[in-house]
Amino acid sequence: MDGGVKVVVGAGLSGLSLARELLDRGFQVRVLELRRRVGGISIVDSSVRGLLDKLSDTPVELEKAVVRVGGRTLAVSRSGVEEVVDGVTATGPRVPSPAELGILGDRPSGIYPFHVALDLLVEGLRIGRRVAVYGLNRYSVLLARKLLEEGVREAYIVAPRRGLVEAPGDIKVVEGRIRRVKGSGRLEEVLVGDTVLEVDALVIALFRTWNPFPGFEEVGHAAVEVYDPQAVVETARLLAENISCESSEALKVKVEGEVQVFPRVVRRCLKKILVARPGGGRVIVNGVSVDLGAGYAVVDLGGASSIEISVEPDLLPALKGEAFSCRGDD
Amino acid sequence: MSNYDVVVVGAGVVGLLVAYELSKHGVAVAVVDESLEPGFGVSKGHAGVIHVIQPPFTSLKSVLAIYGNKLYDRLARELGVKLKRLKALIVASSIRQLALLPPVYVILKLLYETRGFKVNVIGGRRLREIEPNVRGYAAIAVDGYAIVDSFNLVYKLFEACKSMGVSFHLGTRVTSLKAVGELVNVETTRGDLRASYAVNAAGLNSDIVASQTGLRVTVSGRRGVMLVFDKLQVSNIVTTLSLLERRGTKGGGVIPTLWGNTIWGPSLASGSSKSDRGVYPEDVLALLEKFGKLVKVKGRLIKAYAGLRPTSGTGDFIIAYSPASSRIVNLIGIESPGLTAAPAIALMVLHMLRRAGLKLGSRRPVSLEGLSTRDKLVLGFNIGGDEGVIVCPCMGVSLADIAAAVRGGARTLDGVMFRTRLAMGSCQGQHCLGRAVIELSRLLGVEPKSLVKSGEGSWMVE
Repeated sequence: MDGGVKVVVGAGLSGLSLARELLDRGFQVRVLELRRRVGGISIVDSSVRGLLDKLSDTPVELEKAVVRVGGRTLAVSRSGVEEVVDGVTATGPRVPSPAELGILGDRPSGIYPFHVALDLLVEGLRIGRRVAVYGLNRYSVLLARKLLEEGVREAYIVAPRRGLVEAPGDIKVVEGRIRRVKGSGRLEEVLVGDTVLEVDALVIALFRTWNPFPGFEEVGHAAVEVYDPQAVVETARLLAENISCESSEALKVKVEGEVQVFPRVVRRCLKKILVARPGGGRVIVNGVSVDLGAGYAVVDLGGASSIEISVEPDLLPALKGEAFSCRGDD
Repeated sequence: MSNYDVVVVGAGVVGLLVAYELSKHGVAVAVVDESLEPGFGVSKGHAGVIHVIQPPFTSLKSVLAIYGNKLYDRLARELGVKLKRLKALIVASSIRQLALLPPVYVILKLLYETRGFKVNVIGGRRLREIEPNVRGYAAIAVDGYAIVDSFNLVYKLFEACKSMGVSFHLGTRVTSLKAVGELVNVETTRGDLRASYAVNAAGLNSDIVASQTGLRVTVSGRRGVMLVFDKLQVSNIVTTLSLLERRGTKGGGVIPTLWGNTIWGPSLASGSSKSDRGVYPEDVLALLEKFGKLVKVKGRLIKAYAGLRPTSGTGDFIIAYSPASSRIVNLIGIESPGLTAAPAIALMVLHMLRRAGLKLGSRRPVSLEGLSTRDKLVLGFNIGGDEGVIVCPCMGVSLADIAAAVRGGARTLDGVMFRTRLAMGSCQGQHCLGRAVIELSRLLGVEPKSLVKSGEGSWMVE
């Protein structure tokens, strides 16, 4: 692939925002998208429709997948294969598998990651009659909403922990973790604590960070676990600034506890960083207490030459996850 | 009514291999299976290991496993199925086990070196060199194990059989199997078949089919659970010395796969059921307890699944003619190491049928379709068209691969996944399943709502 061109992998909100920021800064950019549409998971979010429309004049190469094979990263499409050298991962979040979330039992049909439920919805296909959506966050609520609009009879949200958002009245919220699923062919039951939900579809709407391409920087949901489109746009702005920084010298960042800092490498000319923790709460940045509100905050560095971040002490024990249970912040 | 030389009941790896070997000799074969696709029974729930050690050492399964093991390289070459030879490392991870190591080593060396499998002891330092993730004082290394792409094996056998004219009756349950004089009458839920001979390779239901032929046996389903991690943790099969002591299972191990995953298991769950493929917390805890101390965990747990072992009352394979007629051969209790033994079982069945009067023609060569998109990308080929439309980026599966799977007989989503490895990578299908449903319904020419994941009732969309 041509030298000097930044290749953004993924044309969702983060990829398109980053492309726009980089183009504005005079970079040459290509945006590659696996699907036949742009917008990624953000198409579920009407609050960013205007923004996506504005970004849609960015040229995007659709149905072009980036694949990692035999130690090389390749862009593959109907027209052929190219090697991708200078890429940025904007492929969105990874949805954890049932096994990873400690959901055991049978393996029936009807259990879908967030993306699949949305992709089928876009195609006009209904994933079930009675649906449980696992996770209480902006995206899970929006999806449950959409499902009801498209004729799903009942929608539950299963909240593994108290969320930072409220579910609207017509969606029933069940608190607890899913332990087992039952069904010989199609899903029949989901067990939440001692409660049995008789549903025929389960959507996993929890996000994890994920960068499948070694050596690529990452942006948006691929980089931080946030459930807010503004945070996604913010990461694009910060990364563009970081990339366009003349000096490659990086600040020292020291993090204690489960806190995510973006960007991963903070260059010297960057004035701000994004600090995220999915459960919200407070963190201490260079001695100053910062409220993470809905799960993240953009913190002004005020010219500091090193950054120290820690979780406020009383919250630390609650964050210690155990293997094969959900992490504390779900 | 159709007439065949041989009807095989069961399209698992054993039934397919029997059909494959027979059809190479020009025999007219029909295969009947209740599932919608081949390999959807016992054959879908194991770890794909070709074994060496199988106690008790004088059992039929032990003997057939050794013979079958040696047939695998040729079989894999013939069909173009990936097979990788490696060692099994039986690790002493405590002082007590270390004390047990010398006598076990002597026994294994005596038993297996004469049969062509090298057995060595390796010390702690060497163990750390070859398996940096494994904790242990020393290990017994047994050569001649292998991992095989077992899904691909099933599908290549299926395709080869079809290309040689084998007639498949899938989604069809056998309701009666009887030898009447020179013939065998096979009644099914979709009409009757007539043949000169029959082979019962019905796995979990082989006891039911056998009872129709007058052979009284029982088969129980014993569940084995496996955990899949998305990174390689070992480069050989690793297990602990203590596991050899347990009855009814070799105890499972930490097993590398051909596509960069690691499997822990299978376990041996208590109880018996022919249909419960569930995974329960105690299964997972037992595996974590067993292997958590043996290896350092690398990668994420991406899947937990269970398989069922069809165990006979004797605990050994039962390979026998029906009491009433030697025109029917029963294969009962073909559990682990059934995959290993399968090529040997097929040859044994061929021999038994010939003794019962079946005429075999001379062998015919087999030819099969080519490379997957992923293989081509690895080899650096330039591709385009439908091969360039990647549906599953994690595993590099293209539209052309899905179309090939459908041409090869895939009728369900699992059928496509097992054939192509679609949705089996790190993201477990989040980027591909939506598109796959659309494309599969298009290729099959059916409405998306009539697609199923594996069997009846497992609908995908409303």
